[in-house]
This record gives sequence, C-alpha cells and structure tokens, in this order.
Amino acid sequence: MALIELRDVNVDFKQKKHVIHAVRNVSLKIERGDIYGIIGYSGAGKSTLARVINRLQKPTSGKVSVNHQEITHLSGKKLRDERKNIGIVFQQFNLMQTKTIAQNVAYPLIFKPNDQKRKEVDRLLKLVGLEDKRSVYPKQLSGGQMQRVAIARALANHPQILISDEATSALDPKTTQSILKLLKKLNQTLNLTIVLITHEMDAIKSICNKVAVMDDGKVVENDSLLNVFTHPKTNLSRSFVDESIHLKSSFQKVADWPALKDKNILELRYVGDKTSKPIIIDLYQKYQIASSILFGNIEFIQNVPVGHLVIELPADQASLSKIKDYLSHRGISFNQIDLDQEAV
Amino acid sequence: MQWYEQYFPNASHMTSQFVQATQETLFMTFITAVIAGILGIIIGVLLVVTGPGGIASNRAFYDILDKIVNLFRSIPFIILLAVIAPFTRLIVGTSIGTTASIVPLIIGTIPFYSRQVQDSLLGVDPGMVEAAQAMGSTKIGIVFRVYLKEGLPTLIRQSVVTLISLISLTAMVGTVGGGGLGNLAIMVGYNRFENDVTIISLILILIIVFAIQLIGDLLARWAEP
Ligand SMILES: Nc1ncnc2c1ncn2[C@@H]1O[C@H](COP(=O)(O)OP(=O)(O)OP(=O)(O)O)[C@@H](O)[C@H]1O
Ligand SMILES: [Mg+2]
Repeated sequence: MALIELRDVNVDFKQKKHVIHAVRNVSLKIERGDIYGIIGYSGAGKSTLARVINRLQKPTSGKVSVNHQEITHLSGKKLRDERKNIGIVFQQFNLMQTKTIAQNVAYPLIFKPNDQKRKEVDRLLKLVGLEDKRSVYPKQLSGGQMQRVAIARALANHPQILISDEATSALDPKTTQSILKLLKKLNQTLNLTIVLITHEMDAIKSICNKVAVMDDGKVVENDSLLNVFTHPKTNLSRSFVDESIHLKSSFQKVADWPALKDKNILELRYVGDKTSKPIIIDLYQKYQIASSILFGNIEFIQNVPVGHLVIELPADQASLSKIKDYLSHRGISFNQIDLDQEAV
Repeated sequence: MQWYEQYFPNASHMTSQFVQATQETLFMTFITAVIAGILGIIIGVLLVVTGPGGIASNRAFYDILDKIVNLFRSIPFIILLAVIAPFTRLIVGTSIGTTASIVPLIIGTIPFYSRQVQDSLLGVDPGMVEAAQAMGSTKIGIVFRVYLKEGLPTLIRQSVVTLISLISLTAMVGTVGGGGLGNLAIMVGYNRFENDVTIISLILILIIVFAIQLIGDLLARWAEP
C-alpha cells in the first residue's frame, strides 16, 4: 500500500452565496521515497490538497490514509502524532517572529531535555547550512535562509513525509536550485518522501520522479515525470512542459520572420537514445530535404535525455507525408505548427 | 517652599491626605489590574480560540460570550456603579470606600480589556498558528507559545491603554465615595472651591499615567524581537 493514499477527496468551502469546490474527486497514491510534484496554476487547489494530507483541512468527503492509517477522522493526540509525522514548509515560511532561529527550530522539541534539544537544533541547522544564524531573528534573514529554517523546523519531529508548498516560488533561480538540491539530498539521505507543490515545471523537472497536474480542483493527469514530459495527455500539461523548455517564447520570436511564411514547420519530440541518431542528416540522405533547425533543446529527465526540435522543411505535401511516415517509424512524435497560432 | 505655600495655600497643608489618596488610587488600580487583567486575558483568549476560524471554533459559545462582552461594554460606567451597588454590598459588605469601589472597577474594565486582548491576539499571523498546528502543538501550547508569545508586544501596548483608562475610572469612583485622588479633587478641590487641591491631584494623576506609559513602552520594546 502506498505511503499516502487519497481516495475521491473533495473539499468544498461554503461561502455566503455559493460554494467553492477547491478540490474535486482527487485520488492519488504517493509511494515511500517519492518526490511527488503537484503542479497547477494559482487557485487550482494545490495548497488545499496539501493541507488535506496533514489534516490541517478536513476533506468534505473522501478518504485519506497515511502509513496504512485512515486519518480523515482522527482527533486529539492521535491527530497531533500524525501531524508530527508530516513536516510542512509553507510558502510564507510562517516562522515565529519573536523567536530566534534556534528557538524556531526547537519549537517542536519542547519536551526534550535541554542538552538533547541543543544537539538536535545543531544537527538540523547544520543540515540546512545555517549553523551561524542560531541566535538571529527571522526578520534578519533573506528569503532563501528563512526557507531553510522552515525546512529545518519541519524536520525536527523526524517526519517520514515533507510537504513543501511553493517553497521556492518567492526565490531567485539560483537560490531555488540550492533549496531543491537540499530537498533531493534529504530525500536520499533520510529516505524522506517529499510532496513538492509548485506552479513551475522547472522545479519539478529538477527533482521529482512523479507529477500530478491540477486544474480547477481536479487532478487532470498524474504519471511519472518522464511520461508527462514526453507524452503530455492534456493541453495543460503540455503548456507546462512547453513553458519550461521555452518553446512558446521561441515561437514568438520567429513568428514575424517573413522567410518562414507558408513554410512547413514541425515540432519533434523524442526520448532516449533516439537523440543521438542524426535526424537532420537522415532526412537529407533519404529524401534530399535540407531542413533547418529553428529551435533545439535537450533535457535530462530522471537521467533520460528528452529532446525537442523545431525544424523548417521546404517540402511539398507528398514528401511531407513521407517524412511523417519516417518519423512515426522511428518513434518520434511530431506536431505540425502553425506559427501564427502558436505565437499568440 | 515659600512659593508652594503661597500658590497652593490649601494643598500645602494636606500632604498626608495626598499621600493617602495616591496610595488609594494605586491600590485600586493595582488590584483591579491584576484581577481584571487575568479575567480579561482568559475571556480574550476564549474569544479568539472559539471565534470564526479559531483553533477550537465553537459558534454558540463564541456568540454568547461576544454578546455578553458587548452588553457590558455598552453600559456607561457611572450607571454601572449605581446598578451594581447592591451586588457590591453583597460581596464586600459595603458599597462605599476604596475596597468597595474595586468591584465596579473590575466589572467595568473586564469587557474593555477582553476586546483589547482579542484584538492583539487576532493580530498574530494565522500562518504561525497553522505552522504550530502542523508541528503537532496542543491547543494550550498554541495559546501560550504562539498567541500570547507572538502577540505580547501588542498586548503590552494595549494593556497600557486599558490601565490609563482604568486610572480615569478610579477618579470617577472617587467622586461617589471611593477614595483616591479623584475623590480629593472633587470633594475637596471642586466642592470647596480649593482649586489648588484639584491641580495637585491632577498633577499626581498625570505622574501616575506617565509612569505607566513609560514602563509599558520599555516592556513592549523588551518583548519585541
Ligand atoms: N479557507 C478558505 N475559504 C474559502 N475559500 C478557500 C479557502 N482556501 C482556499 N480557498 C479557495 O479554494 C481555491 C483553491 O485554493 P488553493 O489555495 O488551494 O489554491 P492553490 O492552487 O494553492 O493556489 P496558489 O498557487 O495561488 O497558492 C481558491 O479558489 C481559493 O480561493
Ligand atoms: Mg497555494
């Protein structure tokens, strides 16, 4: 059984005049050791879903089990114990302003004897690389440093699960990468299961092995990262992928180029070792078509190379269909592009 | 000290009365502050935790408590004094004098202070409360370690406001036989046209107010990170 399992979870918020369905019929399985990405635009219901997992939010209907235990109806001490098993890092950090960094990290350790508490705090601050900030107040830290404190604090209870709600959204790309690297390290060294909530495919791309795409409260797609990246089933997933490889912005750049008017433009997506076989050369040798590359990108998703290539072909319909056959034969998925439409 | 006797002909002969009145005012303020302070904090905390979105949200309990607080807040103090005189006599044995005036002072201060406490605690970022819940903190733990700790600087400033209005209430009970500096200012200064007595009483009250303000500021600064 999966470590975290959601079955038909719904969360409704009753307002004065209407009901907001923040989460609709979500079923998910998160296995031990996963770094599970949840991606969606603002308002998709990601935070609400995260809060359901540690029962800060009670689902309106549906079941949530963590570690074989149904948590939907827990209360009192049992609920508190369950929450201790799930660390959460909030987007706004939510550090206590009147406590020092060390006191913040020590918050969950209240019942430990002092020397043990000090040791734990030292260990946690070392883990996130903030040993020198012990007696500083949160106000005096940068966003990335506050995020690290929040992570250290979330780990103080030795949780099996860490939920990170937009932990990196407020940070610059470099700091984001260092936080993601830290999460990856925690995943590997502590066998920590991580739920990474974000609206940026880049963050998911760097560390997740699985991803769920959310839209309007629903999970519209969930699969391994590689599958979503190479064969997105919904337009939403496709647009997250395109955004992360800057496909759209490159279309916009070439759209006004007069030389490309009425040309055939193909977008190719391929996975694995096909990358190393020279498609462009093949096309020339087999069909004497000199294609030119408008855009090319290779990503390594879970160590598998994934390529995107946009080429322009000066070809008539007959040879075009031959080329399409060739591509299908080689297992390369393609997509004929209408620049005027793509650029908008 | 010749000018003192010249400009304050009556007050200069009343030093011991001023000392006693000041002691009475401080006594009433102190006892009221302690009792109403504790009860006000308890009620304020209850309003916050049982209120909408609170950690122990309870609609019925909150509504009733909220209404009671509003009711008592809207009674003018001078009328409260009269209305609860029989009740005061019941618990203190008399309805005049310094000790007796503590009863209406407490009842007049609690609703006001409860609201101040509620406001201070509602100013605590709900995110911190949620973080504490997520870390498995108990409700009592959250009250003491998050609400009261994080809200302390605001709470201290609001308490200073309450204390200062409490001083003006002690002056008011003074006029109906409660003793203290208010009593001196009205019964002697005003009724006997001894203006200098009123002025000295006023100066003493102002000194007390400034002292409270100063100590409050220092405490609030100490509580801030
Ligand atoms: N406590 C609440 N009361 C009422 N509505 C809420 C509440 N919490 C969330 N919502 C609504 O539920 C929907 C989903 O909100 P949620 O915060 O889960 O979105 P999100 O995907 O995390 O968005 P973001 O990326 O902006 O953080 C939104 O329409 C929001 O307004
Ligand atoms: Mg959110």
